[in-house]
Amino acid sequence: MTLLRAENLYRTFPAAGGFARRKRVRAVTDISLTMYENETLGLVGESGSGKSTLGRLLIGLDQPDSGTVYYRGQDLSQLKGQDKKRVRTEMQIVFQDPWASLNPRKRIYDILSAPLLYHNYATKADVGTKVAALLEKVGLSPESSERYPHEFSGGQRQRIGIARALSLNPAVIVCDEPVSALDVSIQAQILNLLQELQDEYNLTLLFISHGLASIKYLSDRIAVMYLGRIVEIAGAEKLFSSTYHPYTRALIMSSPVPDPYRRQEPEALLSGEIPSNIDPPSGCHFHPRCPLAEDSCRREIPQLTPVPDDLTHLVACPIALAGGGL
Amino acid sequence: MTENSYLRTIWKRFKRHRLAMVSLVFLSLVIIIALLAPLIAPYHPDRISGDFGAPPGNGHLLGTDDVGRDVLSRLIYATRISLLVGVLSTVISTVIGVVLGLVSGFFGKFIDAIIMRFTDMVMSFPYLLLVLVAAAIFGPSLLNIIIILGFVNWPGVARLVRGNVLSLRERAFVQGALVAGMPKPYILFSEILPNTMAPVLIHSSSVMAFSILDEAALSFLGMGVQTPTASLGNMLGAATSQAVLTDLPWLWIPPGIVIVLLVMSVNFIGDAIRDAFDPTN
Amino acid sequence: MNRGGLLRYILKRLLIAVPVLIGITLIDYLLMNLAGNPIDMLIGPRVTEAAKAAKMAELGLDQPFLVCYWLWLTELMRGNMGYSLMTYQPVTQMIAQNLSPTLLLMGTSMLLSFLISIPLGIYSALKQYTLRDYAIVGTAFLFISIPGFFLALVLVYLFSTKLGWLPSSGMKTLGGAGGMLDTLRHMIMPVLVLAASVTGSNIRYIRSSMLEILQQPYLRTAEGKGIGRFKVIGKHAFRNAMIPIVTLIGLQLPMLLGGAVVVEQIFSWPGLGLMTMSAILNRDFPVIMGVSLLAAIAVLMANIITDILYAIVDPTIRYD
Repeated sequence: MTLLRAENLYRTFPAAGGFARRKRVRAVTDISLTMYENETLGLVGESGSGKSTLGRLLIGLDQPDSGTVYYRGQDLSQLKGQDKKRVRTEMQIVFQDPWASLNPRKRIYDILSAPLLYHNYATKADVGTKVAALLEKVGLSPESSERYPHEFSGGQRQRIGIARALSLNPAVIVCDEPVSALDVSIQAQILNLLQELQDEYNLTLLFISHGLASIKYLSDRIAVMYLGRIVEIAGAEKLFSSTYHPYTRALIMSSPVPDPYRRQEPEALLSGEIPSNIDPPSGCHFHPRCPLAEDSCRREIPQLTPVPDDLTHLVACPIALAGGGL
Repeated sequence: MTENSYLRTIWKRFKRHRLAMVSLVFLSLVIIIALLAPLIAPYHPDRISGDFGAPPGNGHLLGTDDVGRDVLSRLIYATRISLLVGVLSTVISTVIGVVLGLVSGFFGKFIDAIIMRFTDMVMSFPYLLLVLVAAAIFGPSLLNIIIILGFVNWPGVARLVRGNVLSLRERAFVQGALVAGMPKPYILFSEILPNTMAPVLIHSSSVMAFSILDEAALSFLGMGVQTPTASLGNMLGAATSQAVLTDLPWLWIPPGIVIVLLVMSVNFIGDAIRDAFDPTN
Repeated sequence: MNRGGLLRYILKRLLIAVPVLIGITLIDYLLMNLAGNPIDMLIGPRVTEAAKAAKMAELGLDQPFLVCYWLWLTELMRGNMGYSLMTYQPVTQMIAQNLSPTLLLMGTSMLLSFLISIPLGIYSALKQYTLRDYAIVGTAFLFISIPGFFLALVLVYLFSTKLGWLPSSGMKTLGGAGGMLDTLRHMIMPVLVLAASVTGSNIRYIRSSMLEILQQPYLRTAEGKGIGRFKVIGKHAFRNAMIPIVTLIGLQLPMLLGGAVVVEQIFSWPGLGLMTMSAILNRDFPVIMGVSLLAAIAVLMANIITDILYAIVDPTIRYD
């Protein structure tokens, strides 16, 4: 069942620096994407690839310049009144930085109870028990509700962030690099917690990450982004077993071992710098760093095309397609 | 660790600033004296209680002024007036600045542009000129001075709050409240406002110092608090007469020193609070 | 940074300044109309209503508010700021006559203040948390907290009344030979008073921006390379500290203008401040309007120039 569908999303931001007004950062360019109910979609890209922006667009936290996001078939931008309010609560997010994601001046109880009360998910009488239950669900003691955010570790804060996202019975949660700011020893715990909760509540997860390693075993499907565009999307196993796009290959090679304790930045294996997304390279944005680049790559923007034997595996590289997968 | 412990850390850092601690003690003392003025002042401030222009001593610790009023009593009441002007006008400008800054930063776009242009306007008004003209127009009275100073000092606060709101709006916890579908007033007043209060309070301390100075300047120029009510400024204003300046220095030196000490201690305290809240310290 | 962008930016800032200026004058004009009837001040209360009305019509004060304002504005475009209600002189002429003594006072004070505060501010930052640093910062606080008129009284008391070294009022000795030296003697105290408060805030500002610069990684790198500390400071740090100094000049203009009113009043310095104060006391609308406009233009221009200099020095600043 299709839960979320994005069609031809574009999003730009005013560029910092200089006087010229027309310069804009192209964060998301012509992205179409479908998320199915109860799946985990991994979204991978280097910083500046637009993956966070895409995540925010999908749950309506940011509005696209053009293009449409459909949630259960309804255009997000057309929702009004009660419908808008309901859909708003069904789409939640867990942020990357656990230090910035909780209001430092509020107790955990206040942070968790306010939305419950406002949306009538709880009454004054039972909100205390609901908060306690939420905290237990994410592995924290009910007593912690009386404390302030700065009294918790990064991992604990991320659990609180997850509890908040969970509190309004969401259907979809965007996890925006939820573990990248945490100690490696904590990362696995948080990832496990998310997976448990997904099974229990039939959640649909968009899991954003800058490396493949941490989402390989979590994701059902993985989409790879480069400079605002999706360059390859496939089932998680397929992406590793028959990789097409040269950028995906570079990403996989940069995280060769299934070991979250070791990770190399993908840039280390690619030649050249990441180009600016203010003036991205012509044609295929990846061509200046691509080992397969040909003349045509400088001119034509490649479209996502299914690979020969699998309609769900899409690649935006005619050269790799012609040459076959790994 | 609780919220209390956070404040305790701030207090601990504040205490390291020796001059600010001295200032705090001094200011508390001045406030107590000002509050208890009727009990402490030896004479009625506006009534003749001795010889004309008697030097300090002889029952009048700071002497008497040119019409025979006790200078110490007048000084105590004047300090009370100056503090009143400083505190009330600071409250007015802080409230105006916070409201405009919040609205401007949170709603952005058209409203923001209008409010910011208006702020530019008030800021590019030659400040003292505006105050003087307003005082001349509305008549120099205590209430008018408070209102006028309150209405010209808000632009700094407004800009500060707006800047804070702009950066807080992008913070994850505010985004989280948006995603949780919380209404805008809740986000504005419950998530954003409490997090801008520390910088606003620090800024207010310098606004208060300026207000005290401005009241004194206005009264000195004869456009502020009017005699017989004593204010630090109009007590100093008496010294524009050559006779007072030369022969009765006890009339103008004490109020001058009180202003300097008052303003300095407010400035020191504000500085120490700023340092104490600075996370890089 | 491209030249066209900079030009467009300057143009845009100037265009934004126009409505701000119109707003300022409109508020000014409104305020002054609230003040009541200037005619009462002119000819006193014992004149008949008919004579008052005739005088009002003669001066154009019987029209509705917006008409009066429009009249004033169109005349302004032709370079006519109206005539003083007190002296019947053209306002432009009055301003022109009084401008140079004020500029002399303000310019000298600003120069003096920078000569003192730049070296002290930098020194204080380099010797952070030493006794000398505390002494400098403490003095700066004292300067900020002293009301100009109190300092003026103290100086007059000491140097004119007690010691008799310096003249306490005017710009020239009455009936004296005049000359540069005479003016200079008259200037000393007003300049000191005006410079004091500005110097205090300058020292604090320069000290803190210098401290910030000293934290910059490039400075540590340069030191690491064995380039001498003072050479580094002279070459890199100070150039970057110039940006905040430019800002300071913009910030101080309104402060100096306000200070000039007080200082000129005390020392009877025949400048704009003295003229303004007497215009305020006499509700001489056209003169007050003229001075307000001039001051507002000066402040706005200073802000714009500051922003432009910023943009030239630091091209990473964003403008939209």
